[in-house]
Amino acid sequence: MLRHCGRLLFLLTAFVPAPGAAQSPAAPSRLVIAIGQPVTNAVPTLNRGAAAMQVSDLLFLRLGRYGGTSFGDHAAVPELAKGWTRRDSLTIAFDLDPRARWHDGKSVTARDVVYSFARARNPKQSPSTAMLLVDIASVEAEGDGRVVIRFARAYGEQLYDATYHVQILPEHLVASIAPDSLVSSAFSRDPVGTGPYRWDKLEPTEYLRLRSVPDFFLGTPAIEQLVWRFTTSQETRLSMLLSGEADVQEDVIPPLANLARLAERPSLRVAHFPSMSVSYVLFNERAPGDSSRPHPIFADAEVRRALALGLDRVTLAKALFGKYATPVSGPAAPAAWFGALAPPPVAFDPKQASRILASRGWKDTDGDGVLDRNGLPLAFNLLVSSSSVARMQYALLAQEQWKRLGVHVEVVPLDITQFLARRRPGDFDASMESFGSDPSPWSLLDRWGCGAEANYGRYCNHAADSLLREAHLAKRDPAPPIRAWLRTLASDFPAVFLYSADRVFALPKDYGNVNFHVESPWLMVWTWTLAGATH
Amino acid sequence: VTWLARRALQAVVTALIALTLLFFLIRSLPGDPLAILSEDRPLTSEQVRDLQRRYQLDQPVGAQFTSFMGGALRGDFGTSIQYGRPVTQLVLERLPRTLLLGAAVLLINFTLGLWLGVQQALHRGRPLDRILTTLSLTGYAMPSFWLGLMLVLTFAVRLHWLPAAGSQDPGLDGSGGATLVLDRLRHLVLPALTLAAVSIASSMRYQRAAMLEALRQPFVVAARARGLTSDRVVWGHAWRSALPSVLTLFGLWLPILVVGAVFVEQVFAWQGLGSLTAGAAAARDYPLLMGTAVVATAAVVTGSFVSDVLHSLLDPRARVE
Repeated sequence: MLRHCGRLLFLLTAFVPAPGAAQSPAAPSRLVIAIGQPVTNAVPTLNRGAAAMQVSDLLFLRLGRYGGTSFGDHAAVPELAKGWTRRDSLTIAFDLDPRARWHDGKSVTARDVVYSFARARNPKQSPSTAMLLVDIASVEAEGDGRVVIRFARAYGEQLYDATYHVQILPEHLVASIAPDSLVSSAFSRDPVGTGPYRWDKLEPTEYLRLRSVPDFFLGTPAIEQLVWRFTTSQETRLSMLLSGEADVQEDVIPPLANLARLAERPSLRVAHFPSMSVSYVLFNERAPGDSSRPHPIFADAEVRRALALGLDRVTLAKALFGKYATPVSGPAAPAAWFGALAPPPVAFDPKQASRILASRGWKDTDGDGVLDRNGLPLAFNLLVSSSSVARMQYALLAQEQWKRLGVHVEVVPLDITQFLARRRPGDFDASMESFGSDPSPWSLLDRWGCGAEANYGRYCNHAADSLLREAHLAKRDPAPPIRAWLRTLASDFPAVFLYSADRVFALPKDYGNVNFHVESPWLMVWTWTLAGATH
Repeated sequence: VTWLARRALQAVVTALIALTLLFFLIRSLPGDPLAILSEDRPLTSEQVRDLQRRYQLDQPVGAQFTSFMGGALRGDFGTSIQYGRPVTQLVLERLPRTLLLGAAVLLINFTLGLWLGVQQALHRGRPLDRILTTLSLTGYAMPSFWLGLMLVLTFAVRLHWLPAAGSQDPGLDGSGGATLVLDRLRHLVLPALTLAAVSIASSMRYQRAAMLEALRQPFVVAARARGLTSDRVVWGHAWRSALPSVLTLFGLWLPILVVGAVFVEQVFAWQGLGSLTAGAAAARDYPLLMGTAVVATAAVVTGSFVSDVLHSLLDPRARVE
């Protein structure tokens, strides 16, 4: 019997190409990316999760892609529109690139753009996008090749709003599908877009494959196939990378030890690029479960400041991410164009932190090692979503450092649904958060504005909100009010802003012109070159 | 026939009771099933109301239960909150992989496992028995995810003999049938070995004990006295008599292999029902959780029913009991 088993194993290993084996010259060039989330739908407004959105970005172009700022008439780089003309302070005309084609060969027309905007602005069909497009008054076609967008008011982010939020859909294929049926339609299963890659095959739960469009109007992609393989376990993704079954692993760290393991495959290198994400400990400024009362500890901005001073954020970020994280002083990631306007983070100063706490009446009167005031211990719970290894580890390290100040922190790991369910009604003292903002500072109002939907810590400073509104409406330089807004937040300490971690990817050395887009990593993969790549 | 009908009726009633209990237990879990949809961006009150209506979460639990049972009878388990797709479709996508892995493990357990159990009984107290006992118990004591990782490290990362993860190579799409079958088998080897290594001990131990009991029976002694060959005595008489008690294991193992291989599925990115169930539980995806619960319940009931029927076929006394 054992002899038979041995023969079978030999057959299995001998006659099927080993994973990662070099392909024949005729085989298509292929980049296999190991990711954690499965992609089930890549149609704009129906997709969920970062991976689906990134795939969607490769399939469905916008009028223009993000150009590095959200203000002014240089906020976008031409994509489906070859250019735009400002007619007045409320109107921009977009001229479509006549070379742009749908993957079924039809030309992209102004009707597609008008249809896509109508869909995106309809709160029933695209509730989250509709909210972002409230300043657009109308979208009209002028012939087949021109679209005119009118805005309800003059403000600096008009071009950004007209390009960033809306991917263009094929009117000739989608308009006839009832909105409720789109998710289960043939178009959803085999979407037709305008991007450098077309939908090839989705093996649900296993992999998604895109094929290059050789006659893509902006240039021919060098990599012929992109394959995303879905694997929830990070350890398994690393094994796939090391065994040659995947070429790229997203987010290799933490743990940092993974970087050393990459040395096992010398053909790999590490690439990193800044992210738009910032991690922070959010303070609830209202009493948990009763937002009408102030929080007994965190209503005091000086206590919040002391907790920020008592945390060695530089050392902790380094312990988790090595050189791949930057300490921050506010919600603006250094990768955002307005990140540079933020003041420097406060330095670690535990003595000053202790002095502040003492000056606010927090003393260890009963000798139990925990400060107290009027019988109330300086103790709080810190919610953490157990789905994030980095945030879990950081919470434990912070707990240890705050303990030295005489602050007792109970770390509460929760699965994601429990975490979200407790955070929404404000049923917490503090929570470990991570938020990746859009490139517009205006998008941050949703998190930090008085009464905003996602302002879970109930921080409220009307003066700060006014500064952000002033920046949003600025017709010239929005930097001064944004700078003032970031300073206000840095001095109010609605949270201890911890770090902005880089995205760290492992990929083969033999690709040229490798560039990851800060907004959507794979957006420019069609411009990569093959320098002797075996895949 | 009466016995069979009574047993089938029992199975249906058991399934109904189990599903009813599961339905209410799942709804008593803490956590909001719609929370997962607000992970990226908070939902407006209107959106929440729409979603509650869509998933019938605005209905009393009793009405939700009636609706679930009505749908279940038609084979419609609703739409997954997390994926926005029909539950039946999601379950059917995963079921073939689960069944393939489960069948491979059952095959190993009920061939190699039983054969080794018989060998242990025949060599009772001797070195072979002791070595096999130690090895099987070592496998049983090992955490499956750890063993899986070690196998991946050895056979995929170091030796490059077998794939580390998944159930198929995305590059072999246009290849012929034989290549595809071999590719599937290659992907199956490590997860099946891992699950078999941690589960084979029970079939070996059961078989060993049953065989020892059978070998002591007078009819085995009589068979030997009649001068039958050793193989005939062991396989034709003793083993046949020992088999019914071992078959009850089948009923125990089937449900575990259907939804209980969560860790192994994660380690090998083997997208089966186990990981789907775990994800649904974490997201409080009620419709999906109930869909997988139906499959698990069906596996338990079917496993138990089949083992009872097989038992009764091999040992008619069981029908009287």
